[in-house]
Order: sequence, then structure tokens, then C-alpha cells
Amino acid sequence: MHLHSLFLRDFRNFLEQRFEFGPGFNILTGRNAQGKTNVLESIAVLSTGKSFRTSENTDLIAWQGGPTTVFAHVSHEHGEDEWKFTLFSKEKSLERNGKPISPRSRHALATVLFSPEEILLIRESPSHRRNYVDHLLSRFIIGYSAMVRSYEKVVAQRNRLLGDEFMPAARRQDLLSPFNQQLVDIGTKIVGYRQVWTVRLNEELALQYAAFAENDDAASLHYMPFFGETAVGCVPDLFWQRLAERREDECLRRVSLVGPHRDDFVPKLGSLSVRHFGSQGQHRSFVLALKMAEMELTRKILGYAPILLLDDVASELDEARNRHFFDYLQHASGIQVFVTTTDLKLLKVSTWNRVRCYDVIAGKASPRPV
Amino acid sequence: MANAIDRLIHEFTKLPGVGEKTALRFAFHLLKEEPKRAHDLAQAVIDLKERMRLCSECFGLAEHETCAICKDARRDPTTICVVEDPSDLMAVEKTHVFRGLYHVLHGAISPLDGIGPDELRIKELLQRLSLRQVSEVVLATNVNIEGEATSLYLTRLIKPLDIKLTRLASGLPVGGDLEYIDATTLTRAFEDRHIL
Repeated sequence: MHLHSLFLRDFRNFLEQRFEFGPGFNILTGRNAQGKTNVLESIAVLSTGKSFRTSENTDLIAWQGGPTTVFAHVSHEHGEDEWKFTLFSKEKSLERNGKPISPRSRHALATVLFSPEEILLIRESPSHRRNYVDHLLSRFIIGYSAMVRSYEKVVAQRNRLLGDEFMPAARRQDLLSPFNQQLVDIGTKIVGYRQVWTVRLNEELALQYAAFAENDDAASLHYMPFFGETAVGCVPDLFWQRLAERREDECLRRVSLVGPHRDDFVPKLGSLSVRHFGSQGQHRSFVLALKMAEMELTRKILGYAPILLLDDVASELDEARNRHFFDYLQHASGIQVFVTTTDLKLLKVSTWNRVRCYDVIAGKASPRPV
Repeated sequence: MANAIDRLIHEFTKLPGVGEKTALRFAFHLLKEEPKRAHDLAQAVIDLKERMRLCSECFGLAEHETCAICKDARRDPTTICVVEDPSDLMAVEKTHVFRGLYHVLHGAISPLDGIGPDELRIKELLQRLSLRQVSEVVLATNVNIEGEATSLYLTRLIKPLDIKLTRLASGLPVGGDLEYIDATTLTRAFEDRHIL
């Protein structure tokens, strides 16, 4: 995939800016707070329909007013697509070739982001890791995101029943039962997909991580289903068993406690949790390897590499990791990379071919020679 | 007070699926038509509220104590099809495949919307099943979380009564090309495939 032109109007501090990008490395340099990350953000917005930095859409609008527009031409093996994101006060829309498209659709623009915040994925709550995995799976499995939404609906219905403090206990159980059946039915499918796909992701992850840190044990994003990893039996049986065991607990705590909405994915090196035992460097390497695994898996399943967005990655990694990472990117064919940096010298782009560079100064970008 | 046409347009725009433009077209159309048309429409609207009520037997729409379907001696009273809304009844009725009677629940179980079994005509259904000779109940609630929950809830209540209980099949639409069917439906159709 190759995003060859990008046009921004009233996006953050860019009033009107056109970029022409090459198929390989595209580097955005400049001092802090000039708007480098805004460019990456605008590409991410085309992919996910929202910003990775803020939950307030209005933050994206340049303070002069808007409407904010992000417009891009992306070519891939089947031809060229026009992507457009517009935002006007609270109204936003994402279109591909003039037709609305959902960021959750399989046809959404595939991007992989690595920014300093991503390292928090290891330390954050399990829900962040579930969202990460779910987002990845919805790229591969048709109907997966619809399944997750129905499941969330069932949980919401159950929670309402559990939260009703005036309802007699017998009646509550009576009403819970038809939702329990659906919880188990849909939940079992979700667990099945997560089990199968974490195995595939981990195959890639172990390879990628080993290339950075050959002395460490194998890296994995270890799937911890809600019923416990050592439990034996088929998933629906375990599900019903846990539901029965935690019945009282659920009533006491007034919330659904059993099901894949309580799953976790634990980053591990060998048998040790990275969160508890990993060094800062290992945290970084792990997340970076995870992103590379995501790239490789996407490439295998969808047949093309997603667009890679690297926000200030050079400052996060030590020199050896930096060199290795950029080596990998140079040799991996067909990956279009966007990198921001304050200092070109930090990037270990060893052979300087396929590189384009933009200088970003106070919301204006201009091409510069490398 | 606004003039009559503005008032009518305003009333039309309150209807589902009708916007300002459509309302305008309706209103001007009626204005051009003969007075009888307007009278007929007005009368039909008034009758709707004054004469329609719920059938005491099946809770479908009726003009009298019992509805036309429940009164029809040619229909099979031993089979009851359970639907969520009167509009669902009409949809099934249009097919002419079902010759039994109906039972309209008037909604589906949804705690989030504050709808439990007591808000639905479930007690009345059970009463009917105990008083009348019924050999089959067809559950035709919607295929979504709430419809499924209602169907599962009814299953638990009706199963012990030793009445044949069936659920409408879900899956491929007739005349549908496989390639155009959404993934969830296709998955469902696969799971519910049957031996030939």
C-alpha cells in the first residue's frame, strides 16, 4: 500500500498543506511542537476515524475554525482509492471513493502505529489489551466486530438486571437465564477466535522479538481466558460452571463477572510477565516486536503491508535496537513508513534510498533533501 | 395560529420517515385533490384511534372484542405463532403460509429499556395455553439479543407443558446471492445447516 498524496486543511496547526510521499521512508523532521506528529495523526484518522492523542474531535480542528479536511490518495494492487475525512464542529465523516465507510470495516485503511504512548499497552488495564487484540482480529475475521458488539449488548442487559437492587433474587435469576444462554453462545465464539489468533500472532511475535534480543526467552502475548488457563474441559462447560460459581458474587457486586470481557492478554518473556519483571528496554522491545508481528500477520492474511506510523520512535530505542529496527524495515519490501524525528541523525536508515524528507516548521512543511 | 397548510405539514413531519419535503408534497397533494379524499383520510385517522383496540384473545389489532383472525373458523386454533409486534403479525400473515392463530407480545425483554416479562403479554399467552387445546407454539420473535432472550425465556416456560415448540429458522434469504449476504447471517446459516 502506498499513500502518495496527502492534503490537510484546518487540521491542528496546518491551515493548508499538501504532501507528496514516496513508497518507502517518509521522514518528518523539525523541532518540538511544530506539527510533525499532527501529520501522522491525520493518517491515523483516515484509518480509525479518530485520533490516537485525544478523545475530543474538536481538538483536531485548527483554531481558525474548519471544516477540517484530510484527503489522501492511496494506491494498492487493485488500483487507487481516495480517502477523505471531514470534521465540522461535532459532525465527522469518513469516506472512501466518495462513499461512507466504517473504520471497523475490513476495508478500512490498515495502519500500524508505534508511538511513545503505545508502550503503556503493557502497563495499562486488560481492557486496553483486549481492545488492541479485538481491533486486530476485526481486520482478519469477517463479522468479528459485530460479534463483539452483540456480546457487549448482552453484558449490558445482564448488568442492568444485576444492578437493579429492588428486584427479588429469584426473579433476577429467572430473567438472567435467557441472557446467560446468549452470553455463553456468543462468548464461546469470541474465546475461540482469540485462542486461535493469539497463537498465530505469537508465532510472529516470537520471531520478531528474537531478532532484537536473542538472549531473552521467547516473547508472547499470552492469552488468559476468564476461566483460567489451566482449566480443563470444553469452553461452554467451563463457562456455565463459572457462571454458577460466581452467581452470588455477581449479585453482590452488581456486575457481570464471567465471560471474555474479563479476558486478559499478558505480555510474557518465557514464563515471566514483562509487566512485572521486564526492564524499560524490554518493554519497548516487546511493543515494537508486537507491532512488527502485527505488520507481518496482516501482510500474510490480507496480502499487503499496512502503513506504518512511527512517532518519535528513535528516541525510545537504544542504538542497537534502532539499527536493527530500521534494517528490518529497509529489507521488508512494500512497507511504507512515516517517521517523525527531531534529529535525522538518530534514524539509522543505513542505505539512504527510497527516502523522502519534509521539514515541519510551525504548521508548514517543505520538502528537503536528505 | 398558523394557517392550515403549515399545521398539516407540521403534523406530517412528526411521522416516522417523513421529512419536511415529503410532508410538503403530501399537504399540497391533498390540497389539490377533491374534498372527499381529505375527508376519507381524516376519517381513517380518527377511526384508527377510536375503533382499533387489542384483540382480547391474541392482542393483535382488532375492531371488535376479538380480531378477524381469531374469529375465523377456518384457521387452526391448535397452532399459535408468537410475535413481538402487530407489524410482525402482518408480515407473517402476508405470506399465507401460516394458518394458525397468533399471539402478540408487544415488545421483547430488554432490561436496558425497562421491559421485563411483566410488561409483555406473556401471562396471557400461558393462560391461553392452559385453557385451549394447543399442540404447537411457533416462536417468531426477532433474531437479535432481545428477541432471542424473549424466545429463550418462553422456551423455559413452555417446554414443561408438553407442547411442541418451534423457532423460525434464520439464515439465507430466499433469492439471495451468497456473495451479497452479510457475514453474520451467512455464519448463522452455516451453523444451522441441515442434512439432506
